[in-house]
Amino acid sequence: MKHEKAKILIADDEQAITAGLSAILADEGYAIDIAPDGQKALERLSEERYGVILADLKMPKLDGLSLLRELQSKQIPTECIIITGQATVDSAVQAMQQGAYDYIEKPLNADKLNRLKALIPKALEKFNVQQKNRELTSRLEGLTHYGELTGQSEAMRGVYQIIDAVAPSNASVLILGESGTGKELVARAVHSKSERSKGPFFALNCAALPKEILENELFGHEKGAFTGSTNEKPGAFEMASGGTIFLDEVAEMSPDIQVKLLRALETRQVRRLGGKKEISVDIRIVAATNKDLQKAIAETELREDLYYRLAVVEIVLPPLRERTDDIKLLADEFLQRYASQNGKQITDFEAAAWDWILSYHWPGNVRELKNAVERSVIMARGETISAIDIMPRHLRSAAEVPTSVTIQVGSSVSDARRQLTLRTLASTAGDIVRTAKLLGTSVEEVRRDILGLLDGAPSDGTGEEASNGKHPAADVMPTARPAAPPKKPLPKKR
Amino acid sequence: MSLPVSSAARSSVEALWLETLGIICDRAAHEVKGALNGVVVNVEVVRSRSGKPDVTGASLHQFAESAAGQLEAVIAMTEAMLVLTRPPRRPLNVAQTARNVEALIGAAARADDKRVEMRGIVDALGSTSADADVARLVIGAAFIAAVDASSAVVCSGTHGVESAVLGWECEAGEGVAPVIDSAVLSLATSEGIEVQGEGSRLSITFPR
Repeated sequence: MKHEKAKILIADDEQAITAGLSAILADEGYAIDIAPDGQKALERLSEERYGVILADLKMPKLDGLSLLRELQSKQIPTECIIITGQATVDSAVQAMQQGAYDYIEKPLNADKLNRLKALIPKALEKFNVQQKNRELTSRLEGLTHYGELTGQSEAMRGVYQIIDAVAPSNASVLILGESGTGKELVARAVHSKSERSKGPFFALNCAALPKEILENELFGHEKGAFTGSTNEKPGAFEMASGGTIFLDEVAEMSPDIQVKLLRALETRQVRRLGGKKEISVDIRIVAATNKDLQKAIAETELREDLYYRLAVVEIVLPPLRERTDDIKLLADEFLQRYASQNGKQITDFEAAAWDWILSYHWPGNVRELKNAVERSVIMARGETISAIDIMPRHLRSAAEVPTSVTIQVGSSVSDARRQLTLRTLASTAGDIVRTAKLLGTSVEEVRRDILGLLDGAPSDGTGEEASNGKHPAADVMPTARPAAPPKKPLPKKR
Repeated sequence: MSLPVSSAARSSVEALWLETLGIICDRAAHEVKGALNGVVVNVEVVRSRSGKPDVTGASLHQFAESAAGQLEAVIAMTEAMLVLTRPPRRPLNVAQTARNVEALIGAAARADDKRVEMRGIVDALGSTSADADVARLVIGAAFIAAVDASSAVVCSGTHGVESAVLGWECEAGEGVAPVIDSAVLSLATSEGIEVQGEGSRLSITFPR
């Protein structure tokens, strides 16, 4: 098997030195490239991967130290060996502190060149180890992330598969999911994985804008179309032509705009307000809603024909409570993100905080979890986040937690036990020790109850859920919001 | 011939020349060391390769040539440096002094991607009757001012019966005219050396 030669970049403005060094290192079996200044070196390193760069400290355009800083800030992987004159050893030491692998002093006599020859294999070994580490991290990342979406649960993997399948097509996509589940991120993923990714992505929230403004935003207007319209204005359909329009909360759109939208979808042409000519647009529509569409159609809030136009492919985003595998992953990610953003050395959640995070049913979904973690990072005083830090204020007082548990006839004993455990845990503001004491059981058993619930373990070993069909946590956690309604079948497509 | 420079003015000339020479040597030092390193590295290639079998003399030629070229550059810069550190010959040879300063300042400027050209700096420019220390100081200061003001400098010379003129045309840059230190200008005037700055051009007229 033929091994590929390790690549080394020599960055120096002294041609005589680069030519000589290049010959010496080529004799050692390396593939050598030369950059005559720091700027060129940076360009080459951005285009190709070099295991080692030998950089002169003093170079035109971008000196060795600045080059090193650029490599760090752009996260370009390579090991940098600084070559320096004696007068600049201080700078070389500074370079080492900034992440250079080592430095060699000039003049590059036989001893120094032998030292350089011995250094390079070690630097390459470090580079290769880190390269493998980066590859493994990237592969791991690929298992837990998809574009801006985070999640490794089966439900989310299913979502990723649908996005992969539908993105290359031009089909309209309807994303269904509760508020805070990441519908816009899915829309962005559909756009970025499509051939339209170089075109614009235009997001409009149909519920946030009054009818007239929404119509104007979507279709634009001609000069003089209405009082105060002194200039013509293209609408979202025109501006996003060649790209994707994301219509959030599409079911909130007024019926007459729905008609216009339907027409635009069918003809791929729009007419500005006050305009006479039809303007052709090349657009893909991704829409989203958190509404019960069957109900919306039945109550004529959403036109059935528009629904069929929008829902060529449907993507159903699961609520966070159904993605228990992802809660820890997301909480960890948000903790790292906000600790870094706020300059805090917070490393983890306390055990009680984890218990609470994993047992709470997150009615506001990922958005609520994200906000809760951000708030807790800001409020935390130590290196860990406590249950009190992470809990929403309205849940912190045990007095607000209902003190009784309703158990349906037919519930299993283990379900009843879990509901009691969770309600008691909520009443103690997530204090697992006190919960165990109140229940007359051990901390381990309380924890097992919570984890068993979240692992999706059958409630009593038979695989049956609570008889009322609700997620047990939804019934016992201290929030006013009822559990998610069971999914109703949507109208069959014709 | 101008009158002898007073001892106070002499001290001032010496101090200003030391400062100017310091700038010139400091800028050239990197080039001298760079060339020496080039010699060392290329000689090392020749030495390590020549001990190996199936290495032909032709394959070593380019490295030997490169080492020789670097050595010539070092010699030229070292000679110029040595001449400038010694007391000047009297009367001062204008062209030779300009060439010595350029050998050092020009090399450093070119390493910074600047262009420095010498046009018509011929021996016919002759010598000047002005005090040699002051005249040398003015040439050094003018060269530094010109390369600092522009990324492309052309140094040219014209000669007549009464005078020799050195001019620096700054062809590129931010439109900054070369500026010579006022103390140097004052010494130049006292020696009958005329310094004129006009736009991007600096010219110095040395009396015969």
